[in-house]
Amino acid sequence: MIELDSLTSMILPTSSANPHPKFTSKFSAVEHHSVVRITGGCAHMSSADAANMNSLFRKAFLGFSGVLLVGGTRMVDTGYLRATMSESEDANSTEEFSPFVPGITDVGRVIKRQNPNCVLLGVIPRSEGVGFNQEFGILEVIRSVKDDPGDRYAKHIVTIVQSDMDAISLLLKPLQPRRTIWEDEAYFCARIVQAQRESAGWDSALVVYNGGQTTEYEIRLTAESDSPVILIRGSGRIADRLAADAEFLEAHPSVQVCDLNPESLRNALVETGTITPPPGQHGRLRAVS
Amino acid sequence: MSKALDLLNQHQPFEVPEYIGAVRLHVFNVEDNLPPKAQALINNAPGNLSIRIGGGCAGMDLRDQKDMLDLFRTNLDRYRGLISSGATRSIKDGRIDPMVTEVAALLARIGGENIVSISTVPRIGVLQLVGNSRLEMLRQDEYGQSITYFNPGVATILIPQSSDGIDLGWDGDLETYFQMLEARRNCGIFWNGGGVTKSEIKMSLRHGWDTVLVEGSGRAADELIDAMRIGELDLTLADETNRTMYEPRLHHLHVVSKYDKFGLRDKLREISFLS
Repeated sequence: MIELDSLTSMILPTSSANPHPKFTSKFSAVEHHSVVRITGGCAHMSSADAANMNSLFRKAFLGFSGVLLVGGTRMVDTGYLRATMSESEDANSTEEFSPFVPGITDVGRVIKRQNPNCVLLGVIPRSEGVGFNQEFGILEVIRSVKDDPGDRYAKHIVTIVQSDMDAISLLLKPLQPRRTIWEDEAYFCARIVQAQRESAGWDSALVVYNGGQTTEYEIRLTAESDSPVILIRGSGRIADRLAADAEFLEAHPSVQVCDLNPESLRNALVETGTITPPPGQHGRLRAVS
Repeated sequence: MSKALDLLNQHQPFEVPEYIGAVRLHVFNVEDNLPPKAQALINNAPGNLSIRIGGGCAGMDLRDQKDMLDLFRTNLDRYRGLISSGATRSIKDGRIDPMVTEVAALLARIGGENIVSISTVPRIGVLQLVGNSRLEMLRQDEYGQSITYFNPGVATILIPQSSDGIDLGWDGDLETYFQMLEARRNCGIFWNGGGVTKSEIKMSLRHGWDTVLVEGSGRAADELIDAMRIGELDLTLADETNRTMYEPRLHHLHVVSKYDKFGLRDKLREISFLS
């Protein structure tokens, strides 16, 4: 049986680049004053690049007690799901199914399940609405090619509301002319993180795994404001390209590069102050031979 | 103990005091949510409590006004959390003319890190910098020209404006402050006041806030206390057609006397706004 969504507690619409106060009020619920935005590959990430992604983040974020800011959706293959549901009555079936298209937005849920004291917040960019899909029991994000001209996926791939979120901000309008809805999400999140840094003195990090054009936009937006960015080298695509770009790294000293293993990512997070080492420890993971 | 007004450096009404450093101003469209930076400040306030001070001081002489400030100082000096009020300052003969809007500035002065002070004022005129970087709001209407001074004794001032240029009116910040405090546990304390204060009191009660009216302070506060006692406290707002009456089981209305030196403090302890 496939576990689908446990519903998010609050979906808070906003018509501007400013989140609803109930969304940011979740920031006051955490012990450690840090916010980590995680971004990167979703639809265009290869399955090879996605392998072990969840495990990497689960290990690196052990003990995290700040705020996580991620995309508020995930993609599900309803054709696969329908086939799985009909076969689930076959008690002899041992094949493992996953109807979900791997994406970076999943790691927030993975971290939250291991670290219940952290707060998990999601953002859903401009869409026509959110509706309940009775067939599968999921909250589906309704979006047309008009909203997302880059969307070329088959109709059986649908976008649903991510589970286990403490709150989700739903953007009702485009925020910036000539930008995509995904760049709007990046811009919206960058404003929130920057506000926490400047007005409340919080530590922050933008963690980048894989990713494409939108991710590059967010990296540059963050790096140009001197906020910490962690590029995971070996995760593929834009993260690898910028991690190897000496000119870019030299021009943006707030950007650091870590390797594709939990120890390296955790050490980078400790450097940014977003994870605090337990007393008497350096907080770093030892490499496992 | 020095008198409360002396703590506000009454002879320097336009100066930002050293303990504030610089006043943050956020001007934004009232139709939008609060800017994230303002939200970050609110969420970073200690604890989860907020107190909004509302009202006015019409009909009071300087002695009464000083007594009012001293009463708030005596009763709220141990408060820890967010404090908010109207963000204006009245100035007479080059000195602070102490209105109820000075209470937030006073608590910011004595509370140190225990207090985050964020006050609001609607944009009802032209904002202009004059003299030595002094910000004023110039308003021209059927009554002539008037100038509103901002209170430099609070850490942050939120100034909602209308994106289409429509005059918000003096109650144009009510929506802002109810929204900004929505996620916190709130108490409204009201002293005296006029028409806008009446609306604030009604909204405070209807938002489920603990609402404390100071008896003997005059005008709006006393009128609504009287109405409550004879069972005729109408909480209907000006633009509403359906009537909403005060209902003691739903609305948290408290009355304290201004002549009871520690009445306010005791009430705030009773409703867990002071330890």
